[in-house]
Amino acid sequence: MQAASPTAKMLTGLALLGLLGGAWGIIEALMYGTHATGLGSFVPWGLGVALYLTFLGFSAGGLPLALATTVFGKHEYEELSGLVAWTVVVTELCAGLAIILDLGHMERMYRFMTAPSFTSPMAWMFVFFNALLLVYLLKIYNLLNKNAVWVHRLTMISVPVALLFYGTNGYIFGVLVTHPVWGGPLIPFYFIVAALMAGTALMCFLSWAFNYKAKLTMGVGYGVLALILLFALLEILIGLTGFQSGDTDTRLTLKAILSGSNGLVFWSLHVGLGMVIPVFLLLRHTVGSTALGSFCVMASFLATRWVFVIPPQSVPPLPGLDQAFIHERLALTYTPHLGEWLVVLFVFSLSLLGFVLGPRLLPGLFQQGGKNV
Amino acid sequence: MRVTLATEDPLITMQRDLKRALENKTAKARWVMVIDLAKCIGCHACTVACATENALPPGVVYRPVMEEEIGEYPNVSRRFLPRPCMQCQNPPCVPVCPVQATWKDDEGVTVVDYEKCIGCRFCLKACPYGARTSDFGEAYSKNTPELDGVLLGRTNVEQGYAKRTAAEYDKEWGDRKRNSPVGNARKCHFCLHRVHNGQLPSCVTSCVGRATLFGDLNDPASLVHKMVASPRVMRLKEHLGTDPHVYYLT
Repeated sequence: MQAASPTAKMLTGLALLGLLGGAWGIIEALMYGTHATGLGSFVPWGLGVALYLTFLGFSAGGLPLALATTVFGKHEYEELSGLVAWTVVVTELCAGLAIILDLGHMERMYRFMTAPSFTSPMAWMFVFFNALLLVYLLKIYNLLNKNAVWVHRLTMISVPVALLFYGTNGYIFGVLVTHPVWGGPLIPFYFIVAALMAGTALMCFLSWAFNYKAKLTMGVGYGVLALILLFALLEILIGLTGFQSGDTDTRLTLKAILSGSNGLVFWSLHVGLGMVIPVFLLLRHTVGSTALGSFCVMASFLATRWVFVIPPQSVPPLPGLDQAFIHERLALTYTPHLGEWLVVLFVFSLSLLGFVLGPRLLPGLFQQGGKNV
Repeated sequence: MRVTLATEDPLITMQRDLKRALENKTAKARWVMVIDLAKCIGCHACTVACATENALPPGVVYRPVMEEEIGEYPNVSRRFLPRPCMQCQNPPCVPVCPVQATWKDDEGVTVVDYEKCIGCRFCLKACPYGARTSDFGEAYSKNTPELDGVLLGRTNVEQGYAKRTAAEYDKEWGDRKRNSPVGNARKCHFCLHRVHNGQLPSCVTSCVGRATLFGDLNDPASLVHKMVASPRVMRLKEHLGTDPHVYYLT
């Protein structure tokens, strides 16, 4: 194991502190399940789902890299293969932890294997989640063993698997055709673009943090810029079609996203920190500003997921249903409990620990200058 | 003019219909509910009866009654709309379940297997009627003071009423704690555990205005079969193609 640098030591300490602080959230989730959350029957998907989708997005960095190297022949980016493979595994495991803790009966997860229902997008999500994890675990093994042939094959396999995985997560929402904003055929594509944006931003920032060539960081940065613009275009299209559709629930939902306390999150964190500032920074064409711009996209991505997941659930399925039987679990509002935020802290700290320990545990994976594929 | 009053309480008629449906061994019943909105007085007795029958914890409701105020003073009226599970024949909540924990049974009622449900709450989001609720493990005894005495002591309450789980789906579910149905999706099931034992659903028997009718749609002689043919019939969100088995008379 390599000796740790002072920065690595500080980050390890920070991660351990976060794990310690967030541990209560995990304990509470294990002991009390969803009882410990602020969820209700009208807002049954909350911070846990947003956290899962956040790390799901972070795990998407492998897809643009695989496309760049295999489809577009940009072989110089193969140097990032090890870093990205490690990132995918770490972030996928964090995403998995986030969503398992959100289940009412996590001990029955085995039913995904023993009794899957393939009419459900969620069953497919489970399949592709594990498939992608397996592909990248095998890729790490082959990268460490310098097996270029299998690394190339696995990179090729990872492209359709990743597209199906991220598309399936969008399909979970898209299939809810009666749900305002969520339902529709555009949503799976929206999810793929969102994941690509976040995953590429993480890859860009990490390539800078791990001192890869500035040229690589800058190149990935252009990808982040293009994906931010594409993502913004998709959001504008969803907004415009929603407002002009004439559907009352869709309009109410869009208003819930764009105004009030959710509006503050949308405009300041999602649009401001997640789009406007990164675009400004990425256009400066310096490696530092590129990394910082990518960091802003990452830092705001939980807010990006929040505005997609939470506000659309604030419109009742039938008018007046929320007033028919009053209870906090039957409200249209949602405020996460402390335990849920502690789970967020734990999962982010776990990923930080993963990134800090990665180069020390598997230094061969983070070799620079050489071609991994 | 001579006024003829109904000679038989609809409950008696429905009870006879139910007996006939259960005795019919040649064809399975197709249970439907008909709710006459003109007769509903918004007393919420059905909501309470349902909660008692199924020992529903706080935050779980199978049959809320929605209220709507219509018109402007001085021409104002109120309309009440009970909303049980619609028992859709094309239920959107079923195909989204990733682990085969919910399905439409051969009597047309969508049921949940509490021991299979993983609590992902996907079905809650898929239901266009908001008819599914999640059991978050709440208890009415939560804020009960811990004092001596059978009525006041939280421990006594927890070991009594709050501990009780109804025999939904003809099964004793045991202590609540974190066991199912805690953590599960829950929904109205037309009180199948009562129906199979010759009793009408609790919301039907408790309805003081006889606004809720229940029976077998496959039986042409049943009361519900006659009511479904009324020109006053409508179903909620019919355009979605869910084919609800709850009919409203407007």
